[in-house]
Amino acid sequence: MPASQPEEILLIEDNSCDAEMTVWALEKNQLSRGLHRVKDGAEALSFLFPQGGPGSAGGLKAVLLDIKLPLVDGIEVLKRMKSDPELKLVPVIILTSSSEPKDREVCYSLGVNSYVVKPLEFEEFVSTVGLLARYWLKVNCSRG
Amino acid sequence: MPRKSVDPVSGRAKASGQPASKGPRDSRISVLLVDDRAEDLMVLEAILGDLDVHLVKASSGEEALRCLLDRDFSAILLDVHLPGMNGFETAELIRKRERSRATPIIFLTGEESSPVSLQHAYAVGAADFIMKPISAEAIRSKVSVFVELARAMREVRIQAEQLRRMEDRQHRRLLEQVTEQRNRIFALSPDLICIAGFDGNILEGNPRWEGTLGWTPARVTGRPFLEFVHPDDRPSTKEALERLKKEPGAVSFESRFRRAGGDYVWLAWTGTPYPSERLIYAVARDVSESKRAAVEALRLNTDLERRVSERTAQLESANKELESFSYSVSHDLRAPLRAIEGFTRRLVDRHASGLDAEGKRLTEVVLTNTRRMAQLIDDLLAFSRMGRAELIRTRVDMRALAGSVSDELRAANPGRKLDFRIGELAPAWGDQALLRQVLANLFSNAVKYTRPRECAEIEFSSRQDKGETVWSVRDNGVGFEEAFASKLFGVFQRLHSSEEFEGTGVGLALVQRVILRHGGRVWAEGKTGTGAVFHFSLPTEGQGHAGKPA
Repeated sequence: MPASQPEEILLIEDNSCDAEMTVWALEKNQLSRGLHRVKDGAEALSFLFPQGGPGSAGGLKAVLLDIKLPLVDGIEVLKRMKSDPELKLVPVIILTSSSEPKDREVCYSLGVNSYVVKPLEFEEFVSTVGLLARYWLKVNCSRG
Repeated sequence: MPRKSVDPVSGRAKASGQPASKGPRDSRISVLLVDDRAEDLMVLEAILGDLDVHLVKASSGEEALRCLLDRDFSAILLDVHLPGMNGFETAELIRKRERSRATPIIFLTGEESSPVSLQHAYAVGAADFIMKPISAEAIRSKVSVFVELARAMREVRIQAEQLRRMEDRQHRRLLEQVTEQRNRIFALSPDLICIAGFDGNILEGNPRWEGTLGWTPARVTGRPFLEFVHPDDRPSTKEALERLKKEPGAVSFESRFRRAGGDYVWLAWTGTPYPSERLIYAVARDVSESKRAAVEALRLNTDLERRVSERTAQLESANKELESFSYSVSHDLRAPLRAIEGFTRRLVDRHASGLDAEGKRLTEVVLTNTRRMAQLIDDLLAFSRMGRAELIRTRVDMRALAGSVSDELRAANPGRKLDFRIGELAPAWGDQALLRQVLANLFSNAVKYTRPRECAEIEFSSRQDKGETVWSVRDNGVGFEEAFASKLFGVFQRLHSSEEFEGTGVGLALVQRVILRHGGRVWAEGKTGTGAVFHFSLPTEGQGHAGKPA
């Protein structure tokens, strides 16, 4: 993938260490240039729904979403995105520490595109993020 | 009981010494003979002399009437032709007297019987008519008919009198007997007995009142029943008494009764109404003891229920806490661990030039321990989830399951020589996924602890026992000290150092938890150096208990 075409990726993550490691992982996969990070669900919603209006995808190609977030949690953000005609086309990848089956069920029932339990080992995390981001960016590209 | 000696026949006190067969003169049947001619009277006396009757003679109507004032006669022979008052006139007067109204009169006449005189005779009440000259046979037979009739009637009257007196005596005796028996029961009853009027007043109480309540029967007689009832129990008691008056049949009720000492006892009453007498008969028993026991039992029961529900609530809240703890562990504990790993890795990757050999070794130790910690968290979570997951029981082919698990272990340990010996195995009745976990843990344990052996021998067998099936995994590994057998199944319990054999100490705890939830048992045998045997049992299909969270 040419480096001259930065992808728009939204990272919604409250933990700054996790956020930093995600940036490193994207960097290692040469995907970090179009990255925008928000720290909680409320911030995410105001980014996705400018002035509280209908959702605007802009050039967004993928959303990396944590479940446990301050103010508005990831499930709510996912719900809002998947019920918006424009935003529901943007792939959402859950990146979480929770391996609870219940969380997984809820997310898939809401139409999440991928549910990934963050691997503990950094190397594995790097390759997982790379694979996922590339896959979903490619799917979106092929859709047009 | 002493009684005056009474003649059963006459009813009079025995005074005369005369033989009973003849009886006193006065008691003989009397016949009145009325004729103005002395010779006729003599003839009549002679004819009737052997009839054993008392013959009274009169020579005129007036004399005859005088005789009738003295006594009663069973028959009167009356001459029609009498000087002065004739026979018919005499008969009319006789008939007028109440006492002699029914006395049979036989007229004697010398005249040819004219229809007029016959009619006259019958009109004044003649029983018969005899023509003179007197025929002895006719007179005797006619008079004796009336005498016999009188005798028979007197006999009947005497017998009736006798019978009445006997019945009277019997009745009195029976009454005395019944009264005596009733009094005995009244006195001896261990229960309180009360006779009360429909007005609610006590008419009679038995001596037990004094024994149970301290009130003498005399003290309660005439008092309102409700006066002794505890104020709180008065409405219900009153209602029961009202019911007694309205409904036929017994009514039972319980109420507290005041004792002479001022305290109360619980009495269980059963009352029965007798509406025709407007009486209530009631019997009561002191039930204070059983009442106290019942109250105590109720209190204990309530207490127990309260404690059970408290305990349940505690357990539920503990369960909730455990769930949120598991969730926290999965999320919150992993995040910092991931950061330690990630940042340490970054340090090694990007800043290796600033680290000497010791620095690099230290970062390796950090990374190793991070991985170990992550494993602990994962195992602990799996263990916690196991207790919550619902059991889905099916018939499980243990041979197939053991085959699949051992294949996986062979694939995961390519450098090892593993000899799995899996014979004919009884099927199990349980949750396939959980039982797979059990076999995986036991088999991998066996693989792990046989590592020092050149060839690991792992044998899996089963046998039937009373109502359960026992499966055993035997290995030729390093074994363990028998004394610690019971410690094997605790969470994080390890009998070997993690340097010697890796692991978190959750595997066997998980095995135990799964088996216990199936209603089975786990136990182990072993000796240091000679291998170990792990047994687990499961109830045979149909005997399984409902799975309980362990």
